[in-house]
Amino acid sequence: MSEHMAGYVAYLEARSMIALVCFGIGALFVGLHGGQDDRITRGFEVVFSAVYFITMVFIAYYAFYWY
Amino acid sequence: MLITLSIGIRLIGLGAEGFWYDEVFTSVLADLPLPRMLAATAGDVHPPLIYVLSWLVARFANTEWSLRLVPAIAGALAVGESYRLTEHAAGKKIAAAAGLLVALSPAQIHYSQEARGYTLLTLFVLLAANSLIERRWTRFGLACALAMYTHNMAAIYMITLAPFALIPRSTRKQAARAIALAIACWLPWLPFLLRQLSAVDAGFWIVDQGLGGLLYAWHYAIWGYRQWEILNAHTLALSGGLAAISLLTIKRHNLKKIGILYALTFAPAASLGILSAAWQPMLLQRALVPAGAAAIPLATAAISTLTKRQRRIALLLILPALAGNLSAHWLNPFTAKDAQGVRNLDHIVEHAQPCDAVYHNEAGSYLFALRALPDLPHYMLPAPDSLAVGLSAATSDAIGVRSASIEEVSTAGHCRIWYMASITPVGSHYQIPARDHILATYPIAGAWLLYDQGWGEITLYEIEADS
Repeated sequence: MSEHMAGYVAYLEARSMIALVCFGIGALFVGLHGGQDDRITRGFEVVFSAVYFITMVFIAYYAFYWY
Repeated sequence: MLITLSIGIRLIGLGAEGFWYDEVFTSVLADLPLPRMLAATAGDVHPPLIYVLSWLVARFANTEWSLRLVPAIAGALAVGESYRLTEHAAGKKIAAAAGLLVALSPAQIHYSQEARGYTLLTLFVLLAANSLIERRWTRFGLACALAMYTHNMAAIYMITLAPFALIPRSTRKQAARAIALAIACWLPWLPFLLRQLSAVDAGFWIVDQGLGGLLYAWHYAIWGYRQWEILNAHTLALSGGLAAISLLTIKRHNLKKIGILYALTFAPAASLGILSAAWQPMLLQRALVPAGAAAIPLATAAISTLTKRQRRIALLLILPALAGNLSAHWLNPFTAKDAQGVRNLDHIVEHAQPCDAVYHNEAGSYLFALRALPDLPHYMLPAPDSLAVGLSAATSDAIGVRSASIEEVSTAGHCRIWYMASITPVGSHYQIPARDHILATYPIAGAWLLYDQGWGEITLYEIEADS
């Protein structure tokens, strides 16, 4: 595999990994929420929102270098 | 009203950006005589409908604006079909909200402004789905046939719709007749499709991307290509959330009515995944554009079943992302156009003399140059006859690509050779040795790095042919 092709494959793999993680975070939040208000506490929402915000900024920061 | 709004949005900046590779391919084919255009199409991987429509439009004008007009109109009509489909599935109120979101979907707008057939495919797929629900069987059959003449990947949508047509006993006979009509209309293309499949089987440019790649493709069908990088992770999470909400609220809907929206949202992506696993990587992201036009109404219907507070949270997360990505559509340049556009040829346009020639490493720059520099002779490095790296020999012949070695070009009596040394990931294995040979053999009078993305680059060299 040429250097260019290897670079392209590495880019696609990184993008796929980001997709899996981010997609998973979104699905996890909704899954934990269960579509019902009483399954989730305000405390969980605050913690999740903080984790979510930090994760998204972290991934977005690195995404700048991939594109 | 919705269609008028959609066409208005799709006309904003329709011809402002230059073509990218796929579009310039459409444009070059549209300039050929009809039999050669059909031969070039048959040698590639798509059926002919969008090329025939583009060819007809090109009789009046072959420009960015004119060739994108058919996809823009198709995209707007697809919004209307999406509204009707949602109305059948979930009622007028949700249909209005969903229709508006599809009209504003960055992915739908992007493909409505691309001189290719993806919004046409969306239109025919949704028309087929609506015709099926309304039991308008002749229209169903014709819509299926038109979808198959628009894109070979329409098959994944036809497979999705077929059970909805054939399982209900009361209408099975009529549905079977409609499918027979669709097959009969499409049959003339079958021999060409078999040849295309055989060429794809021998090698194709799509790279294996796994489950993450599949999720990414599904996500792009909603949020589009031109996202601001800072929003990318968030919109991916939103896509995951929307998929989960849609699946978790399945029991709250009347599945008999909304089942077709579920199928059109998820089954095509699953089919692509299965096809890729069973045969070879076939994850063409843009083939999921029609699925995106179903996913948005489905998510709208799902969100409508949530509590008021949950709906507010969902909208708080979705609307800023939608506004951000909509702004990206018009303000964030499409990188593929940056990389392959005619601006790379500006230097040659300014400095070329009539006795110069242009030598290309790959089909992309060759096709762009045919349009931008029609008065200069163009030659292309001989490439393998494989869809894995570019055009097939049949398509190259039909277009009239002049394949020649640098030695042949340098002794053809030209004053200078402008060498567009593009290196692409899939073609680098033969492009780099050719470039190195040329740089080692011929005196270089000038070099300009036009583009460098790490795995792809374009350098322009000025070669004195006489020496």
